[in-house]
Amino acid sequence: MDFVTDLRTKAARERAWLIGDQNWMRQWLLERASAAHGSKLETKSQFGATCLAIAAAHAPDLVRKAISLHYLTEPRVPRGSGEESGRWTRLAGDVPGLGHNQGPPLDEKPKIPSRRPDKSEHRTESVKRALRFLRLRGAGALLSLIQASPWLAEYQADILAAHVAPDTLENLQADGSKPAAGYERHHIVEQTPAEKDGFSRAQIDSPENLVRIPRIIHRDISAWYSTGNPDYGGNSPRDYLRGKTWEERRSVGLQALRLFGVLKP
Amino acid sequence: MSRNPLSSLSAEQLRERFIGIAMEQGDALLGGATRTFNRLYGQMREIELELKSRPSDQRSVLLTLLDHPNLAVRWKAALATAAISPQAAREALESVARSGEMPIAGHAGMNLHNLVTGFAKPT
Repeated sequence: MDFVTDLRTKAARERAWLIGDQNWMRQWLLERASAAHGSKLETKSQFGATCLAIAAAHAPDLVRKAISLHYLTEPRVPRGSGEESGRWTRLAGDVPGLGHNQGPPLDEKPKIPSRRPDKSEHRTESVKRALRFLRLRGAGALLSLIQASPWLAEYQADILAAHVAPDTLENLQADGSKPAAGYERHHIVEQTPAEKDGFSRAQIDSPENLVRIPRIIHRDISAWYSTGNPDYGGNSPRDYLRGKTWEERRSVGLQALRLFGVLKP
Repeated sequence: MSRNPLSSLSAEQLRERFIGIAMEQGDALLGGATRTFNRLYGQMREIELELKSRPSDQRSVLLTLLDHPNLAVRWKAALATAAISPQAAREALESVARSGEMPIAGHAGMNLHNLVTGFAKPT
């Protein structure tokens, strides 16, 4: 791509980001990926890191694809170099624009087992610690965790989905019935208690009541509904809401989405 | 009538138990173990009630936990002392909610919302 074309593309890119045109961003990233594949190793690596930063900042749903590109383009130790063969030559942390990503000091890394824990509870705990680390240190730090604990890659989509910024209710509802890796369909008014209390499935499953949210946060919100809470006399919020109106259930559901970081305030 | 085993413990001992339970609850939330959390909720409630029943309401021994390094301890101490020190407890809840450390920050945020709106009435 020559300089003039790139300039026009840059102006078009900024416009696309301003108006949230994710289709344009997606096309641009894919076209640049094709161009980079024929380039020198240093260009490929810089391109991979740049994609990661841009995707994280402007197109969160493309972060997973950007990380895959980064895997492909990051320089590795050549074959035949003993134990180090095939490993990335540096921590995958040099991502411009995401803060100090030179790789965190080892004593700040969360303790995550290198082998996949047998118990679901321990896996969940590790995944949430990895998510927290991602939020503190950026995408490069997450890559370093995955490198040390390869089983975490199975949860990469979940972790990245939970890292996105809060969105509007309209956008969350628009995606309500569209499946996506790392996301789950969530009923703002919990479906099972509402059905038991006589609300119709039509109302429960209406687009107004459905949003698509990150799986990790979905589980956290469900746990909040299930746990004893002094605000509700020691009962769980779910038990408190039995017999309550649809409006009160919806109000609580929306507030939970806000305070668990999914819905914009 | 059986004697409450907690009644033989000093306030300081109850405080230490409170810390341990709070930390376990934090771990339970992190691991998605809601049954464990709820079992511990009952144990913590017994400690709070025991302290409350003592002369001058000794839940005050929990106030120093509002600055504890563990997020879950700060959160639970704020809830346990909201009736005796509303302002300090509310500030502690705000701090926990602002930390963004999920899921505890989410729980604390909901508690704070309920306090601010007057829905929650600590006793």
